[in-house]
Amino acid sequence: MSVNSIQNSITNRNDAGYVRPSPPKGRLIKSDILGAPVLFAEDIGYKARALKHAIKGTANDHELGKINDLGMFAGGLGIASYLFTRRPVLKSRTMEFIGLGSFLASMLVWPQVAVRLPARLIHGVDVQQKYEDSFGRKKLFFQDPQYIPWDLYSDEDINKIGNRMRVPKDIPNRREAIQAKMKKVAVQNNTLWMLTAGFATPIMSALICNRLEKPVENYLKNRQNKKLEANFEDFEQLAAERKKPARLNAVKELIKKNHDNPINKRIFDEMCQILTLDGMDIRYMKQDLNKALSFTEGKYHVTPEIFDNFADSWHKRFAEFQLCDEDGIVRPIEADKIIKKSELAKIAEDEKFIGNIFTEAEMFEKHDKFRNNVFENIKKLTDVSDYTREMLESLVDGGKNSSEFKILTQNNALMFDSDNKAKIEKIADMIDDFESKRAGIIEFKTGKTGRGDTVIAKLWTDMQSDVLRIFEFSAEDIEKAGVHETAMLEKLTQKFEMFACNKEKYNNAVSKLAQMFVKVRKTLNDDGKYEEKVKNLFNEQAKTFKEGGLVKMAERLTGPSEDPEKLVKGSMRHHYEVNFKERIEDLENTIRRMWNALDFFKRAPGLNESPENIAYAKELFLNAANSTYECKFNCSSEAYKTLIRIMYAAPYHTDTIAILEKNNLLKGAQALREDIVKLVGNHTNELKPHHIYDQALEYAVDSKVSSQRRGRLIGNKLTKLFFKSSQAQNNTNKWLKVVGIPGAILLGATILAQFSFGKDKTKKGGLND
Amino acid sequence: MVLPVNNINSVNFTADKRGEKKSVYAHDRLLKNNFPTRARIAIDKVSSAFTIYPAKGLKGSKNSNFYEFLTLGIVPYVAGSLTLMGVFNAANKHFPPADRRTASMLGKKLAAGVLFYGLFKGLSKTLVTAPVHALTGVDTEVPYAKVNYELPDHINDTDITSIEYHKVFESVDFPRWDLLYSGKPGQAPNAYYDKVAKKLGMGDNLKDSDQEVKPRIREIVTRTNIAKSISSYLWAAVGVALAFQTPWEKYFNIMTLKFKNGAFKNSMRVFGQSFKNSAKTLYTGADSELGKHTGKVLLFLAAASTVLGVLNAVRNPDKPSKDTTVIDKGGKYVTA
Repeated sequence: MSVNSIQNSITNRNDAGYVRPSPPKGRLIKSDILGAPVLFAEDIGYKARALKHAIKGTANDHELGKINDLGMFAGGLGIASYLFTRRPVLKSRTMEFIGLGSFLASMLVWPQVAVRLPARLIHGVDVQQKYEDSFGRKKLFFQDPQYIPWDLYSDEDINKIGNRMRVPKDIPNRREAIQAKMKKVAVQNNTLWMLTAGFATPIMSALICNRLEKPVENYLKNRQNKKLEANFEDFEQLAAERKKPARLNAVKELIKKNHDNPINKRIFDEMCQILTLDGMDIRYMKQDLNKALSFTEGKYHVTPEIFDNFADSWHKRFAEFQLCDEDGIVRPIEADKIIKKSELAKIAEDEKFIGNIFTEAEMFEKHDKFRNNVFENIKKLTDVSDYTREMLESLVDGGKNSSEFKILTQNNALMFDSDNKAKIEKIADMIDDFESKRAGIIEFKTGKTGRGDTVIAKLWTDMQSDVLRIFEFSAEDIEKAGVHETAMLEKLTQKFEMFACNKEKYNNAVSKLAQMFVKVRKTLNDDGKYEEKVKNLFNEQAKTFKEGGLVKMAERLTGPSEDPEKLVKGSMRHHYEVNFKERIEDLENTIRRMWNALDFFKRAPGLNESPENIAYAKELFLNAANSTYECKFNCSSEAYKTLIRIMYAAPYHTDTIAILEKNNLLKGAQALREDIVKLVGNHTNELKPHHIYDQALEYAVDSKVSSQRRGRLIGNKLTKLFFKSSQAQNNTNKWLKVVGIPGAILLGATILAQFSFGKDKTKKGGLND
Repeated sequence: MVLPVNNINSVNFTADKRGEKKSVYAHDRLLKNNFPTRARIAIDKVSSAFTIYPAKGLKGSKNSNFYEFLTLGIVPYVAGSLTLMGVFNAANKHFPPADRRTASMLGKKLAAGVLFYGLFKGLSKTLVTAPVHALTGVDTEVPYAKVNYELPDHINDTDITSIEYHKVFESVDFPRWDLLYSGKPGQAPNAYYDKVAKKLGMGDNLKDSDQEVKPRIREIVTRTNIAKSISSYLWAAVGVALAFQTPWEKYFNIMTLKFKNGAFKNSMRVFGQSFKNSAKTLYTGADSELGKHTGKVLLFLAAASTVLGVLNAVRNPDKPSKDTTVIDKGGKYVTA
């Protein structure tokens, strides 16, 4: 009991000064759609207060019950959130939350639809009537049959319900009789609710999810596509916003770390690694940088390799030197005793020689120190005449003109001086700039045509389910033909024959396919804007690179040609354009294959060809895989050519032409057929499957395209496509049957059961209520 | 559960297999909170929920009450769990082999998820109630048997009682304080309250320990309830997440109930391994980039809700809990 209400009763005194109870404030809750949001908001407020009270320890039973709901929701949210992060694609992630939502909704909706509504229609009683007690707690009116606050119903309302329940009007204590009957119906319905909810909720939830899957996917993909389009539209501006100075920061860090050191090979490589473009070989950046950076004149630095060369050069000189001694005997000089590498290395270490920078004078000073070491070693030699000693000393006495000193000064020091620093930072900034723009292109390209959760993947699955509808596959067709590709070939041939001889069906199917094609093209690459932007970006960037001294890099982007329109094979621009185009072609040419096949079936009866060839051509249209084409249909070269001619060389049927022209697809479709005749059909040697075109290899000249390219022209094998679609659809149908039928039976039984409720079945000797 | 208490009738229809005397149920009786009692109560409730209560309810019996309605809530839990498992698995056998395997692995994980949901939800409650009991001396779960006298349905009805199993603190508004007073000879009536008062540090030999302690117990029970309900759902979520780990697939491939050639023993061994490895991948998020930390977060949330819940339940009140200001002791009152 809240303190407030007690306070009320204390102030609520009657004339005699006695405290009397407050009048009850309970009321029935009228639930309608308009009031639902208010009730919902009130409920949230109530739960929040309940939580506060519970933590404090002052909550009542009703509040604790509400917190249980809250816990259930939190747990459900936990599950959905966890599974969300475990799912690979956005759709299945979203479906986790829809699963939770549909489950909770089913829990609420089932009693409303299967219990409350029928009870209301059949008996006129609202068995899920709610009321609010004097303390503002909302409860089900009939939840406790031993405590029902009947006084909340007026006589008028009770009588109205009694009339509906056909309680005789002239009995004594009619109100009690009606109440007893209402209670009975309510108890029966509450029991029915508990008995059925367990089965109904998961089934309903699963069915809701099943129905929502496609709309959700459509919505998400639509949103993804719109976002891709919008981002691509002003990708350059976005690039400026998204630009990260990743490379600039990295080279700045590198320069800071090595500021006083010469740029040795390791640092140079590291710098090139930082600067080079993703997906490009590092050597182009190396070549460009070598040219772009300036070496410091008059300053030199020695790398370990140079130092080794220097020592080796001396060593070689002594080793090759042969001296004819006074006694006339030729004696080899023991070079190892004169040139001791360990001693030279020690001096180099003491002098901090390797890796540092010296002027010519300093370098000569160091050179002297090494020479002194050699002189000392010569002095230490025994059994050598003074003449020989002199001769030996002269070997290292070349001064600044000696080849050894030249070795030491061969490397003009490359330094991070202000000039080089500015150059490197400018290049880094240029690359950062390009990468941010290229990221926009990549985002569009992979979002539209990449693998996995992409726009094109959605278009494929849409196409797969659409073709079953276009060719009027019934559930039975799907089940029967979905067992094997051979069964599908039979069914598909039957369908195509049927569509070919029915003008209306034919036109309808070709139109739908044409519309599908238009949609694919429009969705993926409207007006070829992708190629346009790629061309502009890469050309501009190549120009910028050239101006910035990165000539090799520029060539890798667009090729050596100066013509901006020319797409050079092997250039980065070429990769970006072709990669994108080919993915789309896969889908487009599969759709074209369907209308090509349909068109052939339509023209077949009028063709002046052998029936065998026509029958085989029909089968090939539906059932030939790329490998079948590669093997030249397993027939002679002549027969292969004939078949290709029959299939692709003749013009379309006039009906097909009309439809394709209407959709502005005729030119492209005809060009493809010509390509197929030319590139796929033009084989002169039947024993050469799978060869790849290479200009350098003479033997491949009869085929100007790779087998992958040929396969792409032909499109996917239709039996396989329809087989896969049928399987997927069949799985769904089967599942719907297994889950939906019990669900429907349950709903029917639940509603039917209510017709038997409320009847008085008291046995003889029974006691009246 | 309907039991005869007709004193004239010498035939005993009680379902009580342990030979408890009928007199135990002549009035409400506190029961020991131990495993055998809990198991017996659970079996009684589940069997009644599937047999007697639906039969009474569907007839619209005038004796149907709120307890029966609540106990009937077991039915949707069990039926719902089975149906959920069915929805995910029943159609799989109609799919082509490759799809069947994928669907079956996912279906089994979902089924395991349903089982673990229930298991973790049930078991985790002890993680709250046991420490609270140990730290405060208040066992929030202590059960009692309630005798319910019903209206006869028929003139020959001699069996007009039913037994309901409640918990003393199942209602915080109306706890059954009366059952906690000791009736044993030689024991102070307030023995229970004395013990709790001492444990709560409210002192020994209190004049009216029951009055001192009751508000505190009510607070503890309320706070324990919220901790129990929120944490148990979070632990249930952990259970589902655990069931979704890849290592289970190893177990699903060989799970069996056949004992031939030690197959069952082997499958149990693999179950243990899979459980261990799944717990590991749940924590490390090894096989998912996006989900690398979500397993940890979920575990942490569940553990935190338990620990914080217990701490909140056992903490001392901010102010004296005995409220003396509500009723004016000098005033005059009427009751209607």
